[in-house]
Amino acid sequence: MTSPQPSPTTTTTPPTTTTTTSSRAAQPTTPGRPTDAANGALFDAIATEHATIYGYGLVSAHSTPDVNDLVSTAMAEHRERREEAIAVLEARSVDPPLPAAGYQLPMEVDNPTDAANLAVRMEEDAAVAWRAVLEQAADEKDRSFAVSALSQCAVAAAKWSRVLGISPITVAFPGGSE
Amino acid sequence: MLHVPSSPPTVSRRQMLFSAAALALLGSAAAACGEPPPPPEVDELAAQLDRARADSQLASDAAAATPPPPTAQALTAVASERSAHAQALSDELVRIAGTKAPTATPTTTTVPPAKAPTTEDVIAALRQSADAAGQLAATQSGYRAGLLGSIAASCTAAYTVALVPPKAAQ
Repeated sequence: MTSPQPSPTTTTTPPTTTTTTSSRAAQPTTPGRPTDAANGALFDAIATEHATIYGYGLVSAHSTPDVNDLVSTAMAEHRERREEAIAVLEARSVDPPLPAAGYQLPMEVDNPTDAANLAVRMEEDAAVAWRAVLEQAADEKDRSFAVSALSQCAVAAAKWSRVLGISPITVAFPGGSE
Repeated sequence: MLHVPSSPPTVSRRQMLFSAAALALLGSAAAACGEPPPPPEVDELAAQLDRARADSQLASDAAAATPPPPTAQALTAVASERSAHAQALSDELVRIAGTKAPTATPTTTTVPPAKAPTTEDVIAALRQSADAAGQLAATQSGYRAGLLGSIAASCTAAYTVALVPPKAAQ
């Protein structure tokens, strides 16, 4: 995992579990990862999408106007995918993960090149998460959804790689380690 | 056996040994007969393998037809990615079919087409391959589903981004 990671300082909950919740009643409790493999992978993918959407905010802030379309398309795709995946989990009465209060970036992002590098990295990580969903899924609908997600991530990664001037801009196994 | 003997049948030790040997023979014969039907996914994976090889060849031929350098580079990349797909699919076929080598025979030694393939031909082939791999991925599970999904994603990225000139791509 190299995508933005939840910042430990802002998300740590007190280690001592108190029975009186009055002082922290407004604080949402983070749902645990489901034990079921298929839902667990989907849960992880949603958490990755939360991080990716957060990261795209920074990418957007540091990008030049000529990649505006790319930023907004990618961001919209991740948001839509996250919402759909959350709906799938909720339909199974599984609590989806909440976004973290903050995230630690895997790299400094100070200029358009950093922004594009972060975007490529986030798309690669999202592809890994969706391939895991594809491998763990128990039904065909989830798998089709994961294939589309994986393909969209690969397309976005290729577009960002082109922005960076990388050659070739595509990889043989998006989300895989073959 | 239609009637139940009233007294326990007397079976000699020798008879017992013979029947045990006969059963063992029968068992091994049945096991041998049970082996031949290959797993149903073998054919489907073999079809994917053929596609990967054909696309790789098509992209190489298109690259050899001297398109503008950036396109030629992209076509060469497609050729190598599709041949990496072929390798991974062939490995998976070997894994599921035991030690048997993939059945696909490379019949690419046929007469080359009169006209060299264009980038558009490669794009059309990759679009079909992406659809086929994606559809098959949805019906498979585990590693095989993941591998086919990555192949579909790679083909999609190639035909929607890599093979499309930058100006039109965004």
